[in-house]
Amino acid sequence: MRYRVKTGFAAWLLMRATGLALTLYLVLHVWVLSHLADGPEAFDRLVRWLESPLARLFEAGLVAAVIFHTVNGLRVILIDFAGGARYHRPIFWLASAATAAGLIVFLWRLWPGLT
Amino acid sequence: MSVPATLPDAPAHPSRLRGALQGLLWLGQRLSALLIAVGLVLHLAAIHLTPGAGVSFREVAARLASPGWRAFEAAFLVAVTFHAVGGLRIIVEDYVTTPLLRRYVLLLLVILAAEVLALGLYTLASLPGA
Repeated sequence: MRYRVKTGFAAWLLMRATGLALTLYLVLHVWVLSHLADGPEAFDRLVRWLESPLARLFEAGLVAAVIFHTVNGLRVILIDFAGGARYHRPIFWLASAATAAGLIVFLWRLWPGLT
Repeated sequence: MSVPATLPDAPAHPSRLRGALQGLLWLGQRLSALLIAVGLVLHLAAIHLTPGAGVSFREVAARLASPGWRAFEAAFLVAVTFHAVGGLRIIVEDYVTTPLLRRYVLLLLVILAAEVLALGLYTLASLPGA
């Protein structure tokens, strides 16, 4: 395969990367929830790990991946069905801005001491 | 560099059935995307924005004791798994060009997805109150 570095390429590559990350998260999510079968004590001990700083950092990445994949996915649909090819660059920057905004809001909520 | 008229891994005469299936999968990827976009808002609002909701056993089990929420999460999981497989399929087809190997990797992908789906649906079905 040959790569051409342009806006469309960046969108395509980020779509792939976030899609892969979200798929890994899906597997992890289903696996964690399958431990509901172990009962309240065991399950709560497992999800307490989600409050650790490392898990919170992963969560911030998850939020960013979800926002980018969603907004850029709408961009793809607009291009495919609504003649959005003309606006594909501004929509990519919108997706990127929305991702940054979501990340900032999440980190602010995560570390209120920063503000 | 000259561009070949047909890609080397594209069959010279793709069957009509295969073409129709590809079209359906393409459309299904977009339809499931829209369903997931709406479903995700509900999913996250129910868990993170609803007073008294959360991720502890008691909170999760309380919400999923409702048949409506359980049906919603089952449908949401089906849509997300379908969409994930659809995306991974495109990636596999981009990088795995050997026809036989591609077939086995795609088969493996479908089996793994079926396992994740089965685990999730089994979890939902065996919750207290289910």
